[in-house]
Amino acid sequence: MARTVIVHVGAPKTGTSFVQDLLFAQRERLREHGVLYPADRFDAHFLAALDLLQLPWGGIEEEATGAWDRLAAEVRAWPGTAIISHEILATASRAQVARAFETLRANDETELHVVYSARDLVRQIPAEWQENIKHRRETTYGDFLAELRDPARAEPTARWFWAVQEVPDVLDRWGATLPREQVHLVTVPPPGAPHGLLWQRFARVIGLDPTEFVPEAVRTNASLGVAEAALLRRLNVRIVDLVWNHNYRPLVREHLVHQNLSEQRVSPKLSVPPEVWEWAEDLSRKWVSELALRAYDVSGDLDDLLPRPALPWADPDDPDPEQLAEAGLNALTALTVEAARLRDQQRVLTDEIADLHAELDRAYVTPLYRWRRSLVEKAATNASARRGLALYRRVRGRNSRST
Amino acid sequence: MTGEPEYQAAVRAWAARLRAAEPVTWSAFCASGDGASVGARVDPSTTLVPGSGQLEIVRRLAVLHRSEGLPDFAGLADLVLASSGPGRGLVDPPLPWPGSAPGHGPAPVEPDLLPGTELVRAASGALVPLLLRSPVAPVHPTASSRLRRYLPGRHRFAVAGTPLTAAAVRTALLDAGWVEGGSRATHLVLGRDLESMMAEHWAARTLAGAERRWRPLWRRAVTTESLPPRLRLDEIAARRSNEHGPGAVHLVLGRDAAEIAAGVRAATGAGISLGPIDADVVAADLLRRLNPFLVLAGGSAGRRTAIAGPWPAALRDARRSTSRTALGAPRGLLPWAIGTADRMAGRITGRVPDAAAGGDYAVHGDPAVLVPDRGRDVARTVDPDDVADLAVRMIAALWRYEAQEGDR
Repeated sequence: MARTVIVHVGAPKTGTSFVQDLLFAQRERLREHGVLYPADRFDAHFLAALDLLQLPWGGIEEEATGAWDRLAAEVRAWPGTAIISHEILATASRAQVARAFETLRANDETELHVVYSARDLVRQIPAEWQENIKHRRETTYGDFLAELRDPARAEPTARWFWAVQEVPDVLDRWGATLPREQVHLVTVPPPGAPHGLLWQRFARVIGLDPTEFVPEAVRTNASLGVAEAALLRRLNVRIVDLVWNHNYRPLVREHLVHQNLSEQRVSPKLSVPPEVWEWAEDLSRKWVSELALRAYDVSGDLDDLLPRPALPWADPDDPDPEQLAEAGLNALTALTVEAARLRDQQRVLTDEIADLHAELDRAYVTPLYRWRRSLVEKAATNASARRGLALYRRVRGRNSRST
Repeated sequence: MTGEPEYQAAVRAWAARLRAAEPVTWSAFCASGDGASVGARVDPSTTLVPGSGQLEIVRRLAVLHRSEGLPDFAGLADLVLASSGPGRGLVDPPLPWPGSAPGHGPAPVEPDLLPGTELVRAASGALVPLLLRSPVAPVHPTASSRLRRYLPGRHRFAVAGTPLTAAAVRTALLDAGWVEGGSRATHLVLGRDLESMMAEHWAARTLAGAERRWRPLWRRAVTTESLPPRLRLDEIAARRSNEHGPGAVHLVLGRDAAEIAAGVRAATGAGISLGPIDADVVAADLLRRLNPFLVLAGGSAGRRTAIAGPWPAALRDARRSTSRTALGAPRGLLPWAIGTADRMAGRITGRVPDAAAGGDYAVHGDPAVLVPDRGRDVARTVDPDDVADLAVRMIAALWRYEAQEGDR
């Protein structure tokens, strides 16, 4: 039975994809070390989280039915350490946390640990807005910032943001029933920190040797610049009612944003305006003071959660026209090339279909087939032939191909 | 704040009062000073404090229990209090508590003042399992009704157009002994004013599993400059006329069920009558919210079963009257609706009768009825509080079915 279960619950944009990729890629080696990362596909924990949270996600939820219980059963059956990781788990309510723990515990001996990774708000705010607009949203940056600062959290974007990013609240929900030493807070190092430091911090809390488990190919969510983000938001306004999610995902999010715009950034990185920086700094200081009192196990430094000096402010709601035009041309180029590739692919497929039809026709060129075809042609003008054909079809049944 | 033992004891004490079917609000409960005394009798081993949305749903059920009586109310309360609101929303908003300093997490809110959307979410946590495990069996066509379509010599029909009206006409004609389908069928294409047709279309789509809200449904039509295919009445009638001959196709238009029934009688000679046909837009809004949760919890097959049996039964029982909220085009989109309907009416009126080429059909009723009435007093959005009210009544109806099944 699992002795230790580690549940990594987010937050988004704190290196979670990096950790999940590493754990998934090396899950066989982990098993040899007595550590279970129970996943047969890279998004297995995402589906399980959707199931636990009863969270619809653009139609993918049908694949999630029962996924949490299956995952929990695997964990319960494992005799060593098991790790579960997904950033949307941060949104769990207390009732959902209770259900998660209840299903993961094999017996009273099972030791549950919660890991939450956090990054300073001034980097999280623009990152979350970018995620929003990469998911078809049309909210301007100005409105987004205002929604976050609304104490009532009236808008869905604000509810989601604080549900995953409000460090003391997330740890309250996930850690309230656990001893403090089993609640781990990993802080994301500030910009410019040594490469690999974040992984070292993660590895310590999940009990792995960071030099033994080294990251291979890493999936990164490159960020957009101010002009690219502005372009994408304006594009959403125009296409959101015309392009469904199943086409938006590969064409816009993957091809345009991930493979092109974020790779060819022509504008500065997105930041926050000075008054938002001050508000975020004030809030972060309150969080850090409270977290210091709670005596969680901190991997890193609580001061990492305090914002560093702000980047120069450029407003994505009023982008530089030249940068916007350049980003627009890059987007047009990328989508034109993709359209050409798809047309070429269509031509290849059309040719293949024509070849297959020709082969089929050759197979059908027999005396009986020729007789039936002439009967069909005559049926268009001759009533007797029409009756004969109808009789033939009734006898033959409805599966007759062209005759 | 939510971690304070006094606060937790008071919330549990209030939950116990609600569980005993006393519909007292949180503010009244706090004002009465009962928290401490009742809290002492509540099992302290339960560490989980119920959510404010779930508590408010139980309070509303207790109000319903007083007037209508619900079996095993404590069991129903336990079901709701143990559930969690699915989907996105406020996570565990606390209740107002005197003397507590503002902290992190959502702001405290009186449960009876929670937004309707949050209450619907809280109710969904109980509605989804009740729908999926309901003992009410889906209604399937009987063997005799399936057999009837093969009997010779019957009058035959086919219906198209606005979906709920088409369904009502289908039922009326089947009841009158007509048979659906067949090469010699009389084709009826049915239509009403465009706003009502869009409401019918929305309700039908949600029954089929759609999650789309009312405004985006219209926005798509406006952006693409095209109505949903089943509402392009002139195109449907012309196509069917080409396929089956002009004498076989009748476009029946009416302001209400009585006018539609008159048109169908004129077209077919069948002596039918129709009850009121109005899309239940509040139910449609509830169902479009529930659809993804039903799929998550029970898969597509589970959702279909729930919608085929328990859903219509509970909806019928939850609705006291047949009057329905009329829902018009969303704010700002009425001019587009009027223009689009007006153009369709014009195409129908000005069609070129050409029996040889097809494309012609008989019209019963005035094409002008398609055009929405600018002066009609209608809602432009569905009120989430109405949806929450319906959700509570549906929980009660489904709970009764379970109790009846348990009694057998």
